[in-house]
Amino acid sequence: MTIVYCDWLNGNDTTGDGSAALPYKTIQKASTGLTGGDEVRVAKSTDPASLTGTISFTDGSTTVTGSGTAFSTELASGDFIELTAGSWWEVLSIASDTSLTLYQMFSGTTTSGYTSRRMTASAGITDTGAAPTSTTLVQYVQSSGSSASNRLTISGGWDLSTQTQTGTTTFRQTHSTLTNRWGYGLYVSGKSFLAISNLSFLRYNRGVYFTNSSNTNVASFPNLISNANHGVMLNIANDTQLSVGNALANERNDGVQVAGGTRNTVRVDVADCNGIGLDAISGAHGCIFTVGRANRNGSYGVMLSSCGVNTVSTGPLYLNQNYGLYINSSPGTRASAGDITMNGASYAVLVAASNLAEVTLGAVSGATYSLGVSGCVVTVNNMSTSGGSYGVRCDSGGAVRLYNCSIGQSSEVFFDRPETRQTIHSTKHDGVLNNDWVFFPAGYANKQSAVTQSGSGYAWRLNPTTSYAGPLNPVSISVAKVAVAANRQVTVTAYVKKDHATNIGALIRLRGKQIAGVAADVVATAADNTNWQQLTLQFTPTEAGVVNIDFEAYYVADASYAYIDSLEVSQA
Amino acid sequence: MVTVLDSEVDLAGMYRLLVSDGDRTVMLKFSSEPPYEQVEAAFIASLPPEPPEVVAEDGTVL
Repeated sequence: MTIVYCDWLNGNDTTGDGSAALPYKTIQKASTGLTGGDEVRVAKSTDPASLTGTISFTDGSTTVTGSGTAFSTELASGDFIELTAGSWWEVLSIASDTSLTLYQMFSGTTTSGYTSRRMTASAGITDTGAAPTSTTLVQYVQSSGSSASNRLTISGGWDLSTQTQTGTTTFRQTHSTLTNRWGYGLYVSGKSFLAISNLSFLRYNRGVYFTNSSNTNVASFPNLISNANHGVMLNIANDTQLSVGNALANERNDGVQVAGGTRNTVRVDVADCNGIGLDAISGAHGCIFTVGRANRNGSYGVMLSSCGVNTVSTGPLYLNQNYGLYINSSPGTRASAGDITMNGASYAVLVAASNLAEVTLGAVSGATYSLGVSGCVVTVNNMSTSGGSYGVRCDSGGAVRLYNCSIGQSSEVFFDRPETRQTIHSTKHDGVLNNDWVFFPAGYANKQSAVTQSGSGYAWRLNPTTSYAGPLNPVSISVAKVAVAANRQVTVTAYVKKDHATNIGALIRLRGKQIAGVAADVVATAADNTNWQQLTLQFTPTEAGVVNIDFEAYYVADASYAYIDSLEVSQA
Repeated sequence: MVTVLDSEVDLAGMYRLLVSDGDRTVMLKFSSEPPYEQVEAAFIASLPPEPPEVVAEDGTVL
């Protein structure tokens, strides 16, 4: 096993030999010619320094005020201060010894009287100078490991005098133009079987960039902060295990972006104040994403777009600008999220063109629509909504199945078009067993106990409310799925009642062509009265199978009710 | 002016009102029996939001 040391401040790629006494300068030099089992040990940055006095800061604010502080002499633009333990934020400008402005608003617990630390040119940070272009490879990896059990290790935090790992290594790009966050802090192209740890990257274009089939790597980064485009980007990387502590204020794009690739396991503890906290795009599939929290991001907390089947689990998503959780063109996504809080955005959660997505949510609040589903069939579990105008919006032919969801808004649902057959099924609605509802653009159906034929239990009630729910577009629910044998007559009976003889129509229907031998619809229509009346369907399939029986009610002249109860099935 | 066409308490104990202004009929839900003013306000709040303006690069509203 070969161990090679590098030290950006004191090393030299020309005169060094990679020993602790004569280290190389860069990771690329140190990693040249290595293989599985070898190690690159990166010199640690000095420890952060204490900040004189105490400071106060507010969630959502860029202002930091001090008491007994000496901001003017201890800090400069581009330095970082600690706002709560381990959470580092870049200083944009200093107004006085007791007042400064952060590069991005602070996200976290409002605190006063905090004894802070600072990372500056003289403490806590290893400056790599000004990158000359946005795509300069500031440091990169030159070799791969050999296998998953024999990796090339690259780790920071090494005290070269004792050859022990006693700290961390934090690299910073220092272009004098504040907006020129340039260069790739660590570039990994076509390298595999690496184990990278204890390195942080601040103020680059991309903090870390894996690309060109860099597969099967294990990497963890404590801090990826104030980079322009991405804290870290996995570009078509497979089988990678990525862990990020703080992905903060990577404001133009993403804290973590996963573009394509499969079987990656990605965890980010805090993804705040980026463009997007976690962003999976371009066919990423078979991945597991875990986000501790994603707050105050400029557009989305967590986004999966144009992906395959992935699993994403996230903690709270707080005050993201556009969507808390956005799943677009990513069928089969499994997502779970903690509480999602918005401040007047259109949607807290939007699932679009992502058939068979399943989403489990906590409390969702503060958006015009707590949940939007567009053009796909989606299952949603456990959500509770409040604030804004609507609980669930369903449009573009979408269908939603809610389980154990509580809708706090008076307007529970919204459909974009009244004439469509979009549906929102809600089982255990508002958290109450048997309180089952189906919402249609032009009507409702619900299970109720006030009106029953049997005098006990529950009966379904259908309520077409407008003329859009006419005979060709009735309010309709499935009331039975019947297993049938071949060549034996099936009889389905059900009691149906209308609350007005002629304002509403009601029928039970077996749709034709569900099974051989039943080519046309079989229909039994309720007569024009308000009595409980038994309707009968009879049919003889010529093959064994399962058929569906529907109960339909349609608008004739007014919003009225139709009930169904006591359905029975027999076969000769 | 909105009209309450029907009201009931569902299995979860929520007050459900079928409300119409003659053009649009919606079901509104309340945790307790609401006064008329609350029903009217909820009905107005349930109106579909105006679609956002689409503005071309030259500032023209499309």
